[in-house]
Amino acid sequence: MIRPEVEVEVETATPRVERVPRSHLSLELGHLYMEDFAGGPEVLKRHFAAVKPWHDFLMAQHKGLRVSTCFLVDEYFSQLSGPADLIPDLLSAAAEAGLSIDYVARESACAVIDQVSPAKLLLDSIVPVPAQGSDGSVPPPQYSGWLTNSEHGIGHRGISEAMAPAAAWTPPRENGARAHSISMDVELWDKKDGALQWSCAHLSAVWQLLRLGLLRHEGKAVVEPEDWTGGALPSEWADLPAVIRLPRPGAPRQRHRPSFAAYRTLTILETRFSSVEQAVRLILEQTSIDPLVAAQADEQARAEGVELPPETVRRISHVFTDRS
Amino acid sequence: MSSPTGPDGGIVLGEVRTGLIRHARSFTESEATRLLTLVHGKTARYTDYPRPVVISPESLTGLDCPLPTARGRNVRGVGTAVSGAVLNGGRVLQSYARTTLVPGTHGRRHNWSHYLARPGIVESLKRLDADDVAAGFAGQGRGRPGIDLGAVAARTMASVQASRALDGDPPVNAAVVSWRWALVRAAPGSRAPVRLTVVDDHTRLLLLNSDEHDTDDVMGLILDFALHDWLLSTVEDVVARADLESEASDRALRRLRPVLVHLLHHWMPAARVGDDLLPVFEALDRARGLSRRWDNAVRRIRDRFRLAEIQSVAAATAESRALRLKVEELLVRPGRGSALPEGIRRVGSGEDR
Repeated sequence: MIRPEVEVEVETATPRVERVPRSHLSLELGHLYMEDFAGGPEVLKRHFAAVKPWHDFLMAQHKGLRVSTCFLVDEYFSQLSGPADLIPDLLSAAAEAGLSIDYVARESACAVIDQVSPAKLLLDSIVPVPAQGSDGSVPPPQYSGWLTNSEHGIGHRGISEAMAPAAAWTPPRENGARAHSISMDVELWDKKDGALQWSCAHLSAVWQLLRLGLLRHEGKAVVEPEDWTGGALPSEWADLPAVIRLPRPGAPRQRHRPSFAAYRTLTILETRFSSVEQAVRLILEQTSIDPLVAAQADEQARAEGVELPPETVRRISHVFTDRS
Repeated sequence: MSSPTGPDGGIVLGEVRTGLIRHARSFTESEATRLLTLVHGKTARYTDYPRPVVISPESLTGLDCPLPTARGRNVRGVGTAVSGAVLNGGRVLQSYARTTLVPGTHGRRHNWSHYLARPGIVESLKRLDADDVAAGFAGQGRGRPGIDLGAVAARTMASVQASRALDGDPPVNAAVVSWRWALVRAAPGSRAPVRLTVVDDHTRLLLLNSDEHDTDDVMGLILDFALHDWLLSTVEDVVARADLESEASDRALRRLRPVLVHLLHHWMPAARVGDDLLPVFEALDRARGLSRRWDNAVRRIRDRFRLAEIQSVAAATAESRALRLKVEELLVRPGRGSALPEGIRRVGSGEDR
């Protein structure tokens, strides 16, 4: 008799993660604070005119590849006007400069989408860089809303004792510094009127992970762009989906837009945002990606002949430029 | 999270801790899944065959310290350890931490993102002597201390035990037993020795040499063996304290009962060990006398209950015989006094009204 081979698989015994489609590049066409929008259409036009040459250069570099463009509206910290007012202005200013935006996202979606908090998912994925001598016996510092890349000397803590004789000052030391240190402390969140408020740097780090398609909640992708076909936009940001997919003028089918998520991201920004983006890099450098999600992205990339650096932070790049 | 090991002398170091969940009753599947969801957004996994187990998502801890070595060499390692928890049968809690050591490439520390892209791996900054490090970690007479995976595993267990879902009232007082282990890749075809050292009641050291096994499989073997070693130690300890030879039967039974109710049914050795590692499990079992001692302890407990049962039946029989004699005596000589034995009433005496 042939011995039968029986394979039993219990559904919940193996973790599963949802696959997200990916473009080659997610290109972010700049960023503006809500106050900047108050400057009217002129500000938007100048902005996109400054972005356009970089956009063209990058598009030429990625000829034949899937590149999706996106724009993040900063309505987490203040909401001066609603989507019905702001988005049409945004799109027409971009169109006037010869740019098309595939996806518009709202920054508060990096804090909460439905019941899921992408910001909290990121916070729980942070593995702080260890100081030399960390052998596992001492728990990692409980960052009370702060993340650092360094060990700090006495001087850092002893400020309150203003009149006390000066304690010997020890300089901060960057963990894993090459020869000299560049120390940075980044605030991830604070409490405002008892409510938790995420920092701009933390939300921007989430934004990068959403664009890279590397966040999952219980195995499911946390954001799924929703089509907006040109109908009326809501007047409240809360009524707008986290990420909307816009029709591209002249393109016959919505479905053929390049995917929101991508193997790599590139962000064109004014230099005033460079410190925030440096903080984003510090956070992502200390962020561990679920190995299953990482392996899946890897596999997808290999199947398409795309070379993907293993470190998340090396998949994001920036162009810093000021208006000429 | 499977940890790849380099062909050129990768070593896996690990520590497993086993203890009783500090709760009066066993956790159900859904309660245990909630309890072990230690990382936001990642659900614990559950499987009920061959025995029910809930497995937590894993966490990472950053390390940058000298590696343990028996000969006292100074080799720095940088990377991460993986840790997690497992709840067996809603009752026996295990936590673990482990890391795979591989030779680094540059002799200096990389950016931290380099290590986070290789979870569960520590790279040595100098040449790695696998046997020396394994002996330093899990051999007798430790040389230079290094990576403290025990502390990581202990913190993981403590974080579960500190959950508000626990009432802090376990039915049995049980110690936590730790297994510190090292797996060295032996040359293909070489005889694979296993060295087990029982340091004391709470600590065991295990050195494994293997040329083919997957880290996750070895980890599964050690979790399984540690669970059964802990069950045996705990049950033997309760039996010893129950004072089975004393006549005070009630006290012994009171002490044994929780073992019978809460622990015995968890015994299912090698249930989650694959065929290729079964010989290792069996060799360890023989060396520790695990199954034989377990059978013996269980027999003693069951015999003690059986004896108590016989005694109580005998006592009940004797009591009822004495009672019958008393009743017969009253029936033969009715009317002599109204004092009846307790529990017997004269019919129609009007006391009911």
